[in-house]
Amino acid sequence: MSTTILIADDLSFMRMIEKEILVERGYRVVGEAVDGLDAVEKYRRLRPDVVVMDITMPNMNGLEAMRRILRIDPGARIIMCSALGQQHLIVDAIKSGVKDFIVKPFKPDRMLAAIHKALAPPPGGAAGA
Amino acid sequence: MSTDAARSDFLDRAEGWAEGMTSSLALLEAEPGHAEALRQLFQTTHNYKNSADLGFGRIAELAHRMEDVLTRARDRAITLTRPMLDALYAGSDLLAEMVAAVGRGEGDAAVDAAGVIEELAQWGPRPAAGASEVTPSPTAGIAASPDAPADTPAEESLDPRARAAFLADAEDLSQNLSDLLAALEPGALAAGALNEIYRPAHSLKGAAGAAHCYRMQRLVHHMESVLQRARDGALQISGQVRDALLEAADRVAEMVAAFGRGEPDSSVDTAGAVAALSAFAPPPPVRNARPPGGEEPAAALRAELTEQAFGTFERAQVREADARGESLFRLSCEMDPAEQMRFARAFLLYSGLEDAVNVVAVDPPMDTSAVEPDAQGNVPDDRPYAHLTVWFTSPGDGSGALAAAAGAGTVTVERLESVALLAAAPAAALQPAESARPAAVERTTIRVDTRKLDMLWTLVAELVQEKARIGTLADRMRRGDDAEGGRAGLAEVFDSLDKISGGMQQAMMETRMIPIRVIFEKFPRMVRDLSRKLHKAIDLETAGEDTEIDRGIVEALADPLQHLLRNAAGHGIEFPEERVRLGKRERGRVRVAASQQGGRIVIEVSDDGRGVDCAAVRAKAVALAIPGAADMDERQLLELIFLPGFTTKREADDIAGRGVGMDVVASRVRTDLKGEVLLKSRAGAGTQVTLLLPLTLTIMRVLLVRGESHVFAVPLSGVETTTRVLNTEIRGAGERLAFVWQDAEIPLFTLGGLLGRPWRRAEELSAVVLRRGRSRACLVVDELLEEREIVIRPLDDLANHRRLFSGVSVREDGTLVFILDTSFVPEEGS
Repeated sequence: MSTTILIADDLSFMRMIEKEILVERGYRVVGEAVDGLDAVEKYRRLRPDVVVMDITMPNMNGLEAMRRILRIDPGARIIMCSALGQQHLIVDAIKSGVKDFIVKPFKPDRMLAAIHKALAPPPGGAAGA
Repeated sequence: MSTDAARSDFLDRAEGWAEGMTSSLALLEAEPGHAEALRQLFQTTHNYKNSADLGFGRIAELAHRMEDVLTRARDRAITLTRPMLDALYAGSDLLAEMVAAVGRGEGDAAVDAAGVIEELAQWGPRPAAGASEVTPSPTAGIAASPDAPADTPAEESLDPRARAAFLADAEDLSQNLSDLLAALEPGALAAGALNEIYRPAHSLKGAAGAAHCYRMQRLVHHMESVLQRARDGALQISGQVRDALLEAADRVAEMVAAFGRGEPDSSVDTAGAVAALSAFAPPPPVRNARPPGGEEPAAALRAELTEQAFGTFERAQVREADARGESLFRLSCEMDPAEQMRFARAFLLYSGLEDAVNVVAVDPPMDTSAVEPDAQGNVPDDRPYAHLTVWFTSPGDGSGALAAAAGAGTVTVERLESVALLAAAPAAALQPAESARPAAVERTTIRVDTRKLDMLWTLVAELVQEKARIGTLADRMRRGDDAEGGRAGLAEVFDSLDKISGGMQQAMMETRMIPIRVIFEKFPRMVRDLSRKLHKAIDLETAGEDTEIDRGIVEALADPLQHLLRNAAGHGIEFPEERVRLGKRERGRVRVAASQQGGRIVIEVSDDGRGVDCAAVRAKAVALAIPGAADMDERQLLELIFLPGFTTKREADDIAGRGVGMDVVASRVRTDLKGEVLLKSRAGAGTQVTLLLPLTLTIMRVLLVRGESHVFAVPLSGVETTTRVLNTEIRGAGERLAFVWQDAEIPLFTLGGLLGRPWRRAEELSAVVLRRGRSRACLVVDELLEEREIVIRPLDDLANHRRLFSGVSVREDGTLVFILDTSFVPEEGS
């Protein structure tokens, strides 16, 4: 079964680009959310393997949506999308447990690498002393 | 929200819209192409159009017609003529009427707007189009132009669907951005409003980059930088800042439109807009000084950490790990040169390692405050993080770290010989990297010009210096040597402390100052309305809008100034035909000018109208039985105009002339603001009213007097002079006493009398002659002390049941000085 992905971005254009990249590589985009609230709601319902989340969205921003999703499912794999100039938000997202981030405009392979990394088993398991 | 609630919300919000529209139209009329006025107008028509959703189709239709005309004017397809402007004014009046009708429950169709709609339609883009069609937004109108060459895409890599999707998003965002910017009040403090604007800007930036519109992306990035600085409190949204943002938004709209036509965004020249924005958000400077052109100097300047430099804490960790059987590893990461967020990338790697292994040290240090923009909005240089070193301990070969570091760049892990390290003596404690420390600037919630703060800082530095001097002096005096020199030194220190505290008082006061522009901005619209109502042609001139004045005074000044303006237009300026007959310019002129002169703010309201008819004033004064009216000179007659109920205009109208106004101006300025009003007039040539105001209400020059064994302060603005009064010169008895001063009998009060205490007469008394407008009164005190500046504090009513005092000040020794409210001086004629 192919990996399921939820895309959250308020811009239909960005969602379209992301979806095309993913679908072309055989991922299954199971849902598209138009804002943070929508993302949380769709996560609850769809339980995708990975969420690709824009950081600036109306109603609820990506950071808050990510925190809520992690409260629902601490194992959620979330990749944050951001434009330049929001490094401090990305740092906040890392502190909250984001798996990886990509900077817009991104190259397809960056996005795929991020998803790949998010799907990798947590390395801590092997090294615990 | 229910429809009813939405409607009522609309009615609430729409209340001031039409007024704002006429105001903007007036600006546009005075200066065709006035960008800000156009923005405001588009915003308002847009707001009206949104009401279509609530079922107000007629309102939306009219607004739409107005917008069409404005769009074409903005795009220079037409030049706004007088009939067009008249139709637009008529439209805004009708919109107000429609909203009022809706408020009365009649519906917007109750107002007949067909004529105006038809009139407007002839200048709109599609004269024959049906009236009910949905209007595209101005940008969409351009973008959707039919001659767009569909077969020459600007960016080959985007397929038509993606192009269309981007265009739709970009149009929305661009319009949204323009609307929000137009609604942004200069000086707005609302972080919420800025966040609202920030979001579409940010989204557009990201989308533009993905659509290969790099010029658009760069421009929006500049806008974002300015917005960010404003949001962080480092920049105030002034008129200029907003203009720069609006200009940029215009360019963005043009680029979106160009994209829609299949042209590259580089067809739009953004250099001017970028330059304007850069003035308010300079490109982030690099915090550390470095040679120009150097690529990695920040890292080079910083002393890099090596394991030999480990401090005791790191060494202890290594020792404990060694005891557990773990090895010490060093991970080096060289990031991809294209990595855009080096710190975040480094932080992600570090966080991943923290989960996987036991991290001992990291270089550069992971100080997350290193990426917070500083108070000036500058984002720190994160280039040092492109090369990251992490020491960690782990059992096995440390390969767990490699997985955690995936995607961070070129990562190498090597095992270190921990035994050698542990044998070596501990080096100096780990030095924090300077580059990771952002400049610590306290943020405050008060918005103050930094130059004002700099001045305060300088003074504080001087203060500290003087304190040190006092310390030295105190030591010397304690030891008892050179008492004479010590005293002289003390006197010197006192002198400079006096200067410093004076300067600090001044600097603090200036933080309360705002430009008087906030009041002046309302005048163009007011004058336009007045000229229309009165059928007079009036030009308004303003000067000195940047004059700074205490916030409290600005608020209290708005009404009096509007009164004066109405008077000038209503009473002063003649009708055009009369002016022509008199050989004057057809258009009358009203001028409002503010300036600071010495320690006072001077505001002049002048007109070139008919001036005050002194004969009419005298006749009125005689009719009102004002004593001495028949013999008054011009100056005295003019002062009468400030009396309550005094007007020479025969009929009241709704502009000016009800006999209220000038007295309100006088009492507001004289009593509330402790200022002065002067009126000069020349028959046939015009009138000039001058307001003299203190710079601030919190500091006042007073005369200190003693009476009834207390010290009181009399505001100097109300003091005519001081004098000696001989007991024999006092006339009358009981509570009604009088004194002859400059050939006139003026009432005489005593401090004791005012406080309700018996008065002991003496042969010779000290007195203050007080003035209130033309009135004078004599206040007998026990002793005249000195003139000085005091800081006023408000007085609660309990302590002021006689309403004798306007405030209180605390003296150096902690005792209170009550500030006498001199309004007990009877006003002439009252």
